[in-house]
Amino acid sequence: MDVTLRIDGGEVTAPTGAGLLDVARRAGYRIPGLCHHEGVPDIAACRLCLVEVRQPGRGEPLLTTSCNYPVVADLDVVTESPRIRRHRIMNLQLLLPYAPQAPALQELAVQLGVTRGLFAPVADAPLPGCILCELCVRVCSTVGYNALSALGRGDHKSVGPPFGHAGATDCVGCGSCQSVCPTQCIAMEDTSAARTIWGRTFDLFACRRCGTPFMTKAHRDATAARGDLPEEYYTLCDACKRVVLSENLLTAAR
Amino acid sequence: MTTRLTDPGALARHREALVAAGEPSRDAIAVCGGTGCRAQGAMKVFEALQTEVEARGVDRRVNLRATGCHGFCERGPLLLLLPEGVLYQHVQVEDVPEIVEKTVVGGEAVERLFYVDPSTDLQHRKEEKIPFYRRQQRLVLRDNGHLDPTSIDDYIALGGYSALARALEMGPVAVLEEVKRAGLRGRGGGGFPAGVKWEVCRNAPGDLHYVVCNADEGDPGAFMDRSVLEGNPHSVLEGMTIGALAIGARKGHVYVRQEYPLAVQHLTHALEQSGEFGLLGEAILGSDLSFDVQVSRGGGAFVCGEESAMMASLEGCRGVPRRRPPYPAEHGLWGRPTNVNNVETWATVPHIVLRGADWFRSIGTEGSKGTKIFSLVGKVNNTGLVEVPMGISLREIVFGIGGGIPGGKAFKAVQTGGPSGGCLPAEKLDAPVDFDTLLAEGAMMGSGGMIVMDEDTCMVDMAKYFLRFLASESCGNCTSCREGLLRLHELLGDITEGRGTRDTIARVEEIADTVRAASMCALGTTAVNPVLSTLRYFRHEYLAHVDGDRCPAGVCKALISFIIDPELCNGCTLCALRCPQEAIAGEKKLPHTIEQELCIKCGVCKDVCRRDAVLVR
Repeated sequence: MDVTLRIDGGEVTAPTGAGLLDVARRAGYRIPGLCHHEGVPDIAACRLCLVEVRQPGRGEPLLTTSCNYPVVADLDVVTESPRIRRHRIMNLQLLLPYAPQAPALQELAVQLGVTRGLFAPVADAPLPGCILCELCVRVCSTVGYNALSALGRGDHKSVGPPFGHAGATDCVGCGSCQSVCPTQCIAMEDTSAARTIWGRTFDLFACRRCGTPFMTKAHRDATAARGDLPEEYYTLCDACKRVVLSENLLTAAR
Repeated sequence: MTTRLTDPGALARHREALVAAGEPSRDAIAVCGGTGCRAQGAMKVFEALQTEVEARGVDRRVNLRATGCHGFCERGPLLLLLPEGVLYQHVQVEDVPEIVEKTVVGGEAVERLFYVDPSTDLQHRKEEKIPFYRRQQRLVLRDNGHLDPTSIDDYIALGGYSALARALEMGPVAVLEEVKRAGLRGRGGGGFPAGVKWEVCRNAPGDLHYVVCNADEGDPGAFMDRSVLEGNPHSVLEGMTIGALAIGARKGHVYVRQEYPLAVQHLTHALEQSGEFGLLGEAILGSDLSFDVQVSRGGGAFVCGEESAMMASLEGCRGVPRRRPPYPAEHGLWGRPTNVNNVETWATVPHIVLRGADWFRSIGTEGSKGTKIFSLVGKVNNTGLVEVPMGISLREIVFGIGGGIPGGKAFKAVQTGGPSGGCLPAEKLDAPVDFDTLLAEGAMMGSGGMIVMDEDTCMVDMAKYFLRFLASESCGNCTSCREGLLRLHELLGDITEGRGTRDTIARVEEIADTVRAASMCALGTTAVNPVLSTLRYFRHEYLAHVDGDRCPAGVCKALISFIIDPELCNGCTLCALRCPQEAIAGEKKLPHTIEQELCIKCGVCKDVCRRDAVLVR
């Protein structure tokens, strides 16, 4: 069921229960955020997508993260205010020392008018550049491998293979974590025959049509074992997949 | 022999038989087996008593039992003579032969073990006359010092499970109404009306509802829930069973700290017993109520006391809070409607059912009904566990019950509500202790931790201590909480180490504002209370650190120096002998001096000086 809500005075229609951040961004509103991805569950870690909401019948506007706020009918949302700005800036300041050079954070700093960091860069982080958004952990869980985990808690929290093991034993080297990381702090190295990530090296599997290595053998085997995907999906590289698909379409059309 | 009680009549008959046999009122020596007294050797005393009465052949004349916490930990090990209620304090193994000779055999008291009130020099024979006890109103803790927590018969003989029988007779709706009308508010910290929560949970759609007992008591220095679980586990189970009846739950969970082995042991034992007696399981007391309880142990994360993190932990996941709403009452454990209350709340329920909402409402204030247990610790004469009516003043707790500050020192502050509570100064001592007043004053009820501080406590250092605890114990999800607390701790470090300026204080306030406003769960939103409340009431101490490079309490090492008063020093050389740095020089019988460059400010010189000639500046 669709509901109508107001964002900065404008009416927006969205399915009830949808995440407010998604709804607002699709409607063209610009709300910052580093830990949200449409494909994975939200944990509201970065605290940058703060907005003010007022529910019908409730008093004071509530300061809340928007990514994990489900929309309801007649919700009144404000995406910019001095209070919102103040807390977004402080949260960005708190993250900056961990990834001062990351383009995503620099962009946000410009957007929020932050010209000077409050804190010196952190030199001894367990995973340099990591801002603990846990996107890597969540995407790994969503694609079904659960090879990564948050480790520890409080100010000694980090992410990595469960229990801090040196290598991620359940990792298949798919690289999903590396592709979603907002600060690009996960090291992934491909040579012609192998990929190294999270302390492990995987043999690469070559496209059966053009011979270009394109995914790890472990990833191919795991995908094949799922049994719910056509063979082309894990035997052909992206370019060849397109070629084969169009050839198939042509054959069918004749 | 197991007695399965198949209907409320059977329960009543069982109780009558127990009372007729004189079980609980028979001459008994109740040795406090609470954790505090155990640490002071209570179980050795208990064993010595057992050996001695057997050796003297009088073991049938006395009913010797180890009970739960009596509360007066400061004076432990404690011995309570029943039914008269005579209290022996600081009992040691060496006292045992005399106790058996005089009290058990001779029927007279050992007067030298009586409590003497240090402020009045009055000797008190009976527990109820001692100011520490006299000013309390013990409801949940009433039977703690009387019953053997491993004996369901003791509990039943003292009226246990009659509230459950009464509840079954009343029916779920009437029970719910009674609890609602009683105005019972959650004792775990939130203070949410329990009856309202029960009703939301009861009305939430779903085929399976849960009731959960939160026994993850993580506040440093707090032992309220621990003592109830250790000392009277059946009262918690009875409360949960009544709750299950009212809510329509068939399954219960107790989430208890792994660090509470005795609580786990007594609770597990109680579960087995009540199952055997037909007070848990299928067809409880012959009714159509079926309810089972499972005990799960927490791994020691403070954040798991937050109910959504606790449920995540119960489900086997990382103990990380989640966004609320949806509230557990509608979407809780495994997505099912779940009612979470803490130990003390559950243990209060049987009293409400048995004695009625009107009676319960007669105790306390307009907004906060009933009694509340506090663990009174810190710089207070009578360290212990106290239960008081809501609305009592802080002064009455700290001075009336707690006996004031040791060593003639001045009271400085009392922190209520655990590590994320607030510090209230002497001006607030007459504030009534209830949920709303404490919140309005910048502190909170929390689950009942109460830490008293004297003039020797530096409030900046104290706030820094709690920030360290919370920065380590945050789940680490929210940037504002994880990084904010870390930075606040660093900045308070700057202040206590003499690097702070007024800008540091401004920065502290700025970060604290974001931690409080932008974090998801109650840990984050309350974590800055110690900082904010000390900035509110003890700002002058912060300013002394940053403006005058001075720590008024003489705690912050970077800002103090130890000096020897030449007028007072008689050159006994004791300090010079004990100084680990050999920083003290001087001729025998002549005033000594401390070489400041060598001094590490350990304070040994001050501790050993018999003439108080070592001063902190």
